[in-house]
Amino acid sequence: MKIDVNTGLQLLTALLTQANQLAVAVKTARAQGREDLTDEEVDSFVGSDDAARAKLQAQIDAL
Amino acid sequence: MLDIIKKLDSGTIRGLIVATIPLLVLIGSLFGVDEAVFKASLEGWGEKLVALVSLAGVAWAAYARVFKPTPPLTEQAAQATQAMLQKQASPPAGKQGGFVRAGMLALILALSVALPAIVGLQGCSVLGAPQLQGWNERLAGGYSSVTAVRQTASVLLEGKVRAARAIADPGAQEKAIAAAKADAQNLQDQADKAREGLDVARTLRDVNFGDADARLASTLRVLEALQAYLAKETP
Repeated sequence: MKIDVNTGLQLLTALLTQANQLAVAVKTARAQGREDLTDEEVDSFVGSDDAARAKLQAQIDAL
Repeated sequence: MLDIIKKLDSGTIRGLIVATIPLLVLIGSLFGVDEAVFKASLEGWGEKLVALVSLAGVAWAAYARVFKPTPPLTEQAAQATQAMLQKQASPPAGKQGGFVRAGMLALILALSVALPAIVGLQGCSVLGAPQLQGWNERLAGGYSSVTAVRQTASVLLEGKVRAARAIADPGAQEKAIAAAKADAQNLQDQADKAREGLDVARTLRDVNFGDADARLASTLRVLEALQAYLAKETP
């Protein structure tokens, strides 16, 4: 599949942003001496996915 | 015929020329110019300045290449660009050229989860990402991957609709948009399935940790299996 450079960069940005959010959360936990994330921290990722789902569905439904 | 610009009028060329300046120091050392001479003359801050100039040049080149128009620099490039535009304006009959088909959907899903799966689920020392250890971390990694799928679908949908709207023929345009919409919905549905698996695993955790762990592991395996598909299908 062909994608233009702008789309490719947006894609890369989206993927790296997600990876970075997870990395930051885990590093914060380690810095605080924890070996795992709290349920509240997991909830933030759930919330992000809910928002992403809503945004994509709105985009699809608008077509 | 597209207008051809002077090479030095190209932001890309200008940026790359600037970016090669620090390379001149290294090249000079190959011909006997002692690097210490350069350092002694600029006393350290000069190196930082050069590095910043190089970084600015590379950044500008990337920005210009991505967001600015890129007129061709040679006759050959102009002809090739013109031919490409004509080809894109009229896709082959019976095909929605350039848009996703069933097999490619899986590839895109793999692409969209590969990076966060590698970085988030397995850890990647190259990128400095920490290894996921705890159960909640693995769960969060799964949610993060699913979100990445949706964001990828959103970006791809936007790009495909933009390309579809450039098609002159209204019928072909409508078909292209419909195909893009269907592909995006398919990705959304696959993301929903993975999300459901993660939610079930999370709910089960306090009831039956063994089952929860198995459910989490199987959902994450689905995501990782797509990585294997990507490795197999990518030429």
